[in-house]
Amino acid sequence: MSILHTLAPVRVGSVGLKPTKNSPESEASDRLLYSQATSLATGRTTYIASPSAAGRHVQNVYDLIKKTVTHGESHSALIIGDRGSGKSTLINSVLHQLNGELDMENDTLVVKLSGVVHHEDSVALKSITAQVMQLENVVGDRVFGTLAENFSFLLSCLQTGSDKSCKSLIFILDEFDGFCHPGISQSLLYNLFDVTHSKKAPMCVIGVTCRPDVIELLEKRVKSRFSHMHIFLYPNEENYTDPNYKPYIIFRDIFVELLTLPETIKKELARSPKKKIKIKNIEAIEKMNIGGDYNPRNGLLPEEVLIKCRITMSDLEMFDSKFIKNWNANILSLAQNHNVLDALEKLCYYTTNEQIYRDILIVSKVSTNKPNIDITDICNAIDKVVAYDNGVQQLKSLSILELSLVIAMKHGVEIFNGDPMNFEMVLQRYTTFANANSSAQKVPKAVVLKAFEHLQALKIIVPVKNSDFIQSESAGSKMQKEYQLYALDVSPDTLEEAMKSFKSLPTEISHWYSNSIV
Amino acid sequence: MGVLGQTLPPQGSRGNLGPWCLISRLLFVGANNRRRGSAGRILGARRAGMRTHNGMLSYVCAVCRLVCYRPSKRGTEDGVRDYGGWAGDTWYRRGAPSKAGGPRSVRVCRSLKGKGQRPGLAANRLVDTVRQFQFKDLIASVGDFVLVANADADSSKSTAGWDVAQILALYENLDNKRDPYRAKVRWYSRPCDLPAWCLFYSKNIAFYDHEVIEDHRPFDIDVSIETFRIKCNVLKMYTDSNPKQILDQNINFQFICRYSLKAISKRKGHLEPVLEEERQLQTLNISNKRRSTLSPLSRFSTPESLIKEVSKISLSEEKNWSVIKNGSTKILLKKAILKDHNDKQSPKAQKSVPKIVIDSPKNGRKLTKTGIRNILLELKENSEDELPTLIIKHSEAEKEALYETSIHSNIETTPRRSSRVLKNPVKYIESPTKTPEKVVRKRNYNENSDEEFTSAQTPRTLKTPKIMRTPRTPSSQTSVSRRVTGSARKRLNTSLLTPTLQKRSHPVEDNGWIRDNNSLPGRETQMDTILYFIKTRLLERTRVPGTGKTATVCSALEQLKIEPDLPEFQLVQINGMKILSPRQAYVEIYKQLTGKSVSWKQACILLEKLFTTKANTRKLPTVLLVDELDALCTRKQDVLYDIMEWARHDAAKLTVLAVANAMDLPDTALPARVASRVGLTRLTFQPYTHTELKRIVTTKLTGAANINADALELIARKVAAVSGDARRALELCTRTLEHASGTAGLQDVSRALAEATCSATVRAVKSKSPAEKLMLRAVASEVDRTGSEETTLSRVLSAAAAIVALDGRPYRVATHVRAPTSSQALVICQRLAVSRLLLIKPRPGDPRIILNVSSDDVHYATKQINIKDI
Repeated sequence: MSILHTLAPVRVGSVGLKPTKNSPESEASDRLLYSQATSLATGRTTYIASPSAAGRHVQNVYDLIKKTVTHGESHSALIIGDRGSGKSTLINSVLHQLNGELDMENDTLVVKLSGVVHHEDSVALKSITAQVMQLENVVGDRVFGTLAENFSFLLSCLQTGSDKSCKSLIFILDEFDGFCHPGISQSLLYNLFDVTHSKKAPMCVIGVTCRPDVIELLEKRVKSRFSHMHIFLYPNEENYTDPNYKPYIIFRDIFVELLTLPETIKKELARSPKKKIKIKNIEAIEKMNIGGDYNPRNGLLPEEVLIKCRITMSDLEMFDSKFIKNWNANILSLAQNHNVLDALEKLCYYTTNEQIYRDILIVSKVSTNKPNIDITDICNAIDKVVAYDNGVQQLKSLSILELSLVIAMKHGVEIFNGDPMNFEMVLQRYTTFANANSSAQKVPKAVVLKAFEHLQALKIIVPVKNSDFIQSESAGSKMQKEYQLYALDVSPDTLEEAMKSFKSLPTEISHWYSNSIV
Repeated sequence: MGVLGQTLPPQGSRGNLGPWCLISRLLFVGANNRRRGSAGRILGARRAGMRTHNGMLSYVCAVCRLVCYRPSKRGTEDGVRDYGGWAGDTWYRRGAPSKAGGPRSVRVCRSLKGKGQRPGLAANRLVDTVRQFQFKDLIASVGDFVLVANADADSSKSTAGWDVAQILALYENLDNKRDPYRAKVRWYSRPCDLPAWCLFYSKNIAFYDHEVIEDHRPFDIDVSIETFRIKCNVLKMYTDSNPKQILDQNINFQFICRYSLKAISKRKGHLEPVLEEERQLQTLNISNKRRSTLSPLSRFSTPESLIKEVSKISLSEEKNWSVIKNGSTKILLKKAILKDHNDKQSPKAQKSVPKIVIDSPKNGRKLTKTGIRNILLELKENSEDELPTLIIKHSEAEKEALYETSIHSNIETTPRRSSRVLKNPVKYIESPTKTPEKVVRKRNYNENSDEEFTSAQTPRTLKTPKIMRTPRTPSSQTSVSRRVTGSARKRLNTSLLTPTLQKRSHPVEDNGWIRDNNSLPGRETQMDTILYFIKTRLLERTRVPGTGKTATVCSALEQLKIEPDLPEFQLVQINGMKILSPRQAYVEIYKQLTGKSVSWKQACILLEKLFTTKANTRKLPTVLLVDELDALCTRKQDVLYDIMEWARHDAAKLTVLAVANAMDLPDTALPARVASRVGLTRLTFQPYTHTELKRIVTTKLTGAANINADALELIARKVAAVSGDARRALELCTRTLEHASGTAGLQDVSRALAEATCSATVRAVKSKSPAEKLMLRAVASEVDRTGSEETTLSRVLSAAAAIVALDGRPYRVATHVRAPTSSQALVICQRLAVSRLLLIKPRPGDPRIILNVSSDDVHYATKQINIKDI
């Protein structure tokens, strides 16, 4: 949502620039935006933004895979981390790094499975077969008769590589917990771990999961075959013992690191100063930086980032050195600003998740008229993430009648100690209130019922199937909707908040709300 | 053979012989010259090798030479199993497997011999002989060469999988209801099918395309006639002759034979020229003829004290008398000697009963119905005046020979007086009995029987005492290798692909610390137990994972395989976790036995037939190793039931070794009907102790592993304290070595331990943000307070508010001290629920929240929740 939202002001047409067809800059920026948007939306970026956090783990995984590839050893490991903590990013970056160093294409086969998709053995098998099916001796059009045949064939394939002359296999099991649900058989895991254990084909099995208790889900015999190597990707683990540790300092560093523009572009630009600056591209670059990891010291963007963003270095040459200087100075000043730091601290209180933080940073609104990010942009973005209450917004959008019904129901719930109410009960409370206040407009019952149904459609009230009423429901025909029992799915706090911020609320209603019992 | 022991039925009364087209019967008298020669052939034929077992059921009809025969047992005995194939496999595929008996289209022509042809012989025995038979289109007679359908062969026209055999004898076994038409054959192998050791001494022989080798390896020579496919021609040649001309004529099914394979020992053999061999044999036979054939008997001394009486002797008026040994075998001898005596000496009724003694060792086995083994009948004429004595001997060798396939009891009738009729000993070939469990003994017997042969055939002076024609059947090991090499030919139609992985382009650099060796320290006793049990019993082994169950069984089996005193056995290994569904176990077993893939239903039927058919001549005993037995449990438990049921059958020769983790598997998971079949033999594998673990690690580590003793001790003790899992210990070792820069010390161990023993939840909780920690703590305190694991969000929020009130402002710019709002709290809880620290059950208004980690962990991990004011 947020990405689409921010895309709008940047779109070429919307900022009033001429969408000329042969303008390479606009095309490049579009492509850049698109690729960044997709890569961010999928949460899969090529590089880890803060290598400090995960550097040790990167080295671990790197060693593991490299040993599998070069030495023909077999390993298994489990990467555990919260959502958005960069597990897949870590693996991808390691694979990418190894791709540059080793002859991965000829020496390895990377098989990626996801526990969400391949939760059944049959599906997983098909996928493995498809991914490993560059297996030698396998005719392309070979159709396995049965699943069992497929399975046994695959197993025997995996067991052939005892002479270590075959390619190393790297199994990456995303959403590892999906493979070991208690209901399903864990034969896939058993066999994979068995191969890693029995020194057959060189194989590295890496499970990726966000459940710390995943090891308890494994069967005993599977657990015994697993190497028990855990790699925890929990943020800021090193800093627990540090009394001066302040998470928002880290967030500030990330802020600076991600948003500053590289200096090298400036140097290159010095050689070709005639290029025009397209300010609209600022955000593109900004986003790219969020997605990518570059070393600010040498300032060179990795080539892979450029390829992934489908731009070349020449596209970056359009920036003016003066602009880059201004931009960087602004970012640095923001990082020193108290308001920003307070906002960051507030964010840190609620979450330490870096992925959420990045999503916040991308929300900053930049346009041709407003070339720099300012403080309110960041604070608003953080506030929205931290304190945005959908329930309050929903309640604020209700009509007066609907809100009255909610209040009536809340009172009823208070009186009946949480018991569900039906429409007649709510109506009775509402008419009592309406009769007591002459100013309140009289509405027919049908209209009230309609409003009640609207509340139901908004899931503010939810029907209750109480065990006492199941009998009557099953025995008779459908219960009349006036007598269907409902529970209020709004917490009192939310309603309180909504009442406070409700615009043009009649005083009678607010009075009725605060003096709860009529 | 019920006809024995009865008077000769009238010619017309043979309707009870069923569909057989009976042409004639032979009445024939005990000994003659021809019999000796042919006896030699039969005995020789017993040694003849075969690549594939074809005879499914057997029956012997010797031509003029079998006096006593018990065919019903025979079929189950000659258990020489070749790779991939099984007895009667072709049979199954050819006919409907469910149809017991199969096609009955064998037509046997019997020739009348005996009185007409040999008027000189007294008609004292009645034997069915078959000289010729017709089966479908095939008409063949004794001496012809035929192609026999191999187990591996498909029904296509290709002769590739068919074996060449020479018919030595044809007979009918009425006891074998399913497949009564049997033949004795001599096998001829193709050079490409010979194992490498056969050609060890003669590597330089160039074989021709259509060349076969007379195979004297001890295969089963008793096959069903219905496996014969087509007649062929084998031309025996000198080794230096050039068969080009014959082969160039391109006649169908023309083979040449230049060599015959003699097996010296289990894995040794050499080729001899086939014709020369024949000549030698002939000369030997001639020289043998004059000599007394008592030579085999001379081996068995018969202490008088051991002589016992036969259970029953019936003497009939018709001058036939029969010895009934506990009713199991009837021996009918028309006693010419007796007659002579009676005629000469006692014109009145015979007074003295011929003395019949049974000579057996002291611990002589009971002559039970199935227990009759190698019995030597010796008929002795004591003197002119006395009646002949029939001595039935349990030979000394019988102890070893208990479990052999075909057992000959030689009845030596040696009249002192130059008897007119019985000049030569009568050979009994007794049908085998079988005790499938005691496979160990089989080999001994084979050697023994071979010795008997040599002694019987060769004069004592020429006797080479210790040339053991040890039975050599292709072990499953060689069969595997053969399968690989010869698979191209065999598997043309199966279109099975060799499963391989892609070859890598760069060689691996091996710096492994863990050595591959098969030593299993700490499991010596279990190993011994397995070695002991494996021969006999169904064994179930239960223990926690990583205690070396599978490894112990496997290495025990390996050891058994190379042990010279043991017969070959077939190892079938299935793993409950390596098959998709329990029923695939049938397919897997069948595939490993025969190399063919069928559907599980079919496999079940075929295996059922294979294991439960009594008369089925399976060649090798099978050891079935079922790993992860509990994975084979289904709701109906049919798979386990079937396997256990097969193992219970004597005919199956099936030993089941089951490996399971659950100690109480037979008691809990299995229903009574399966559990009762599992048997009580349970071998428990205790978790390794730390000393054992240490030994394991030291034996497994290579020299490259640089680890000091203290570190090793620490690893062993740590693992032994937790699980006793050897895998775990080795894993820890490798991790330690990976951490270590020089010699791995205690610090590296503790690092590895910290990696392996994860306090995942604590770390996960620690890494959470303050608000998340607050919620967790609130939930934990709520859980502690109420005592139930489940709370609601509103209650958690009020608890959180209390905590926050104590803790102060959460962050500097916080407007007021309060817990997160309910929507914030819900978001936080949902985030925690993703990592399964909490579980959320949605409920209108107030979702239920369940703490999924221990509250102690939460309290410990959230101690530093305070965010101090700046």
